[in-house]
Amino acid sequence: MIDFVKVGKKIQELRIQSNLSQDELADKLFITRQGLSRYEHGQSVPSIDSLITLSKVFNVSIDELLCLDEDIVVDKDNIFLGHSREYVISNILQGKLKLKFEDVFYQFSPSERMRILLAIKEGRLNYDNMEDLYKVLTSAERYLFNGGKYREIEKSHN
Amino acid sequence: MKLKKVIIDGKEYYQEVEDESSEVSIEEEPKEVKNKSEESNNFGKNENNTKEKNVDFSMIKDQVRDISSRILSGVQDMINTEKEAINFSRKSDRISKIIPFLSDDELHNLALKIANDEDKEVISRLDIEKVLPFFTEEDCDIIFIKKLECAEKGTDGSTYIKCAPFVSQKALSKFVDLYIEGEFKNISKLDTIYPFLAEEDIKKLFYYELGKDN
Repeated sequence: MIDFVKVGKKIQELRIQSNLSQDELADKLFITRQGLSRYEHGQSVPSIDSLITLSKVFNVSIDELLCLDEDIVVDKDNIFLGHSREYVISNILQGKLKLKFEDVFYQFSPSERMRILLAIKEGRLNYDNMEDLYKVLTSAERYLFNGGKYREIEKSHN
Repeated sequence: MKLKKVIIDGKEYYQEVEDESSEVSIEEEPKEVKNKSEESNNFGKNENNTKEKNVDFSMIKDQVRDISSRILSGVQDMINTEKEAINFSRKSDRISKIIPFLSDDELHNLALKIANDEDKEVISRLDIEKVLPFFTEEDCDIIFIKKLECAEKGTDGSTYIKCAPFVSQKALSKFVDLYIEGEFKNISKLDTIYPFLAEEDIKKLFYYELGKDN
């Protein structure tokens, strides 16, 4: 999974190191300056062709360009600060990023909350403190755990 | 007798004006005065002018009516489309509020219906992005694979992209392998999918595209 906010910062850093203006680099990528600006701010994802060109222009490996194998560090008050949302969610779902969900659950969108809860429900994600997490769930989210055959999950956490 | 002011060598004099000049002035005046026959002729002319103006005006009126009716029907179409969009959004909002309360079996059946394109009328009312978070990863994988096949055949455009965030890494990895093997010829670029891929798969894809580039 790629953190495109981080990748954007890396592209900007490499561009400045190479003494290239946004216009000059945009020309090499056959995109507009605005398009490059969106990459640098993590607002859009570079195409595979653009990544290939960037790795050639800056003479860096794909691992370095895409900031692969780097640890994720988040600010508890804003876990998405400086990261792309999908990257944070993906790391949570893969168990690479461990958080006290009851403290940060309000920061997720309804869809993201559901993805995390479903991962816990399906046993893909282990979370020990379900009792506290229960307190911050909506009625619909609680139903998802309590309803039908998943009633035993609630019992096991009460 | 009429006097006319004349300035000669800076001094003012008053000369008597001849009758002819006064006649001229009198002749010039009556041009504005019309007798009865002239007035009636002019009246006729004016009427004709008004009729001509009326003809032009009615044509313009028709054109304006035509244009305004076209604009109105266009605006009405826009309003209807907007209403449909709002209704769809409200419906899908209502449906997505009900979704968590469906049993696992019902959710599984719904996922299969989406995957197999059954009950198209009902399914088309669903906003798939709002429903996918409630499906199990296994069900999302099934939808993803089916929609990929549809995209390859050209019967479904982008549903597989919407599925990508909810699909297992295993399914995505399998897809990358098949793509590299050339199984998906009509899905030319994976730009929309690769943000969801695992690091290993991204590298695989990157080197594959790099090789193609050379």
